[in-house]
Amino acid sequence: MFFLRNKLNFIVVIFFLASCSSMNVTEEKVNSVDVKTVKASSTKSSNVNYDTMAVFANATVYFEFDKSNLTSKSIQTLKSTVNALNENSSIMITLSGHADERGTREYNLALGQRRAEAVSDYFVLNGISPDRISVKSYGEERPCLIHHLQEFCMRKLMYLLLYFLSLAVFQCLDLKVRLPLHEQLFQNFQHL
Amino acid sequence: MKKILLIYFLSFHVISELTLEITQGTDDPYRVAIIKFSGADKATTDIQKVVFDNLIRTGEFTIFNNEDLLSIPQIEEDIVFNDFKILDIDFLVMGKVEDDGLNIAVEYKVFDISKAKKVRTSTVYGIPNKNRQLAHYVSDGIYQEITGIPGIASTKILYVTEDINFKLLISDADGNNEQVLLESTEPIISPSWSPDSKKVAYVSFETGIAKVYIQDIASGNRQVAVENSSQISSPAWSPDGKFLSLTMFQDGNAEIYILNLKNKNLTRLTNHYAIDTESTWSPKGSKIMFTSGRSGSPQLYELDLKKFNSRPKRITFEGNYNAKGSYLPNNEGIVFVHRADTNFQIALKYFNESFVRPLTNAQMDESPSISPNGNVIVYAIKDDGMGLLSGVTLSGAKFRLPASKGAVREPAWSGYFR
Repeated sequence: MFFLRNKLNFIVVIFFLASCSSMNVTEEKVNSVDVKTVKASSTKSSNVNYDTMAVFANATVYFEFDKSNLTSKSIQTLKSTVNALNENSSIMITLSGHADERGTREYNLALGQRRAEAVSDYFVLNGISPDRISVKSYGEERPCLIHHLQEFCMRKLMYLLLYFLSLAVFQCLDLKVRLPLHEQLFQNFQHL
Repeated sequence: MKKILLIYFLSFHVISELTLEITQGTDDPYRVAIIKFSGADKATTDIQKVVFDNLIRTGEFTIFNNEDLLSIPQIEEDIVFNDFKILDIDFLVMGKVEDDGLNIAVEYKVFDISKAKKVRTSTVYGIPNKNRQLAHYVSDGIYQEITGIPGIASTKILYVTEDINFKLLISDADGNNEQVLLESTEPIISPSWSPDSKKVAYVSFETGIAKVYIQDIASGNRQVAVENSSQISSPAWSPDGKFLSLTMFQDGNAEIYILNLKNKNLTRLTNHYAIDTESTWSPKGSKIMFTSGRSGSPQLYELDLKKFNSRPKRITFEGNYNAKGSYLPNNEGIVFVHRADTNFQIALKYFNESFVRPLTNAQMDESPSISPNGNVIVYAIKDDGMGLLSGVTLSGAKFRLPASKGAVREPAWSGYFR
């Protein structure tokens, strides 16, 4: 035991001395970091055929901060949408979830998805086929108001902007309802 | 003793896309004399200037130039150590730039004045048109010799800008040498470096929904990480580079998966009806930290990968929003986005402490990323609605990297390239 301790001390001392008298000698070559630029072409517009589609009806459901549960006012909004969807089975619906800039980006992306899913679940519970619903989230990347206006300008489509300010927060979820161009059907959405 | 962790950022100016704005220095900086590098041409002046700026920018040094000194040795043998000792100088640096017209090399020597001896001789060989990078290597070597910590001047930062289009950019740690990796009309988020700093993973909305892509920096070759019709986001590389942790939405809810990059096998890690996202790996790769809403508010959880079927353990309890965590490289703590009342701040928590240390005090701070030496944290702020990058040291001092054009966000600090 004593022997071992002495030996350890000895090693420590040698190491200490060695580190004191060290002189670093290095040689290195600079690494080249080449960068190639990639341009991503958006394939988004191909998802929707704008020739056959005529009307974008748009409804917004608001949520509380960090919440994805439907309020009684949002359910009022959704009830009318369910009626319209039931009256014409050719209507497809895109639910796009958003969140405001508070909170982290990835968490908000997931939150937007939950909000869209909550609305989707409500539709399915009310007899709408899941095949007619597509769900996606933009999180905080496309604040919903700006997103609407951009699409409005870009697509020059007939557009209904209906905001249901059930809560004075800017957490929102869009309902984009794609409709065939039909006067009568269009009437169904006037009361939304 | 010098306070190694106490790094502040001093005034610094560059003519480029991102510009560093600074605050103050440490109470007890290292006093370093840098003799004008020998070598006649303009390259010598340029290299010396970058080295000088890099060292000043760390805030840990008071630099003495030729005109501040009592004697100016041209060769090693001429050094009169006492002339430096009188001025309380701790270290002396001498350098020589050799330029044969094609290739350029810098030889530098570091002398410890108190010991009156040479402690380092180094040579860095450059490559054509990369003199800045060469100077970064020199400053990192000097920094490491004096402080004992690797320098970060030769590292890089990834970030996203938005003006007309969205761009994923890469620049030197000082904001210089900005280059575009990806340009898109749709949002780009969550850039992440591979551990060898040769590839990046990120989320792009170019198909209309969030998808994770892996891109080779040098060739521009890229691929979708997982072929799947649902949303995928939040990529993070394992420290060995073999796996990518991801958030997948195929179950109708955000869950964390691990993708084996070789055979493309997916393993589900979380299973909870609440949101689970923002996964990140511990320095050794044995743990995954992530943000989960399972307690009712976003909090950080840790999962032990070594134990089969282990349950996530909650690790943040202070504040009503704790998200986007990352481990310090020495695994002594975590840095994350923290909200105690209404403001989102960047905060630090050491594992051996029971309290959270807020590092920033604005309203909307996000996306913290730690330098590979663990000393500096770069993060995104909102100033007048505009996105900017800021930096903070572990001691709480700050600097800014404002962009000349567009909103900047989502910074990610690389590993070492040297």
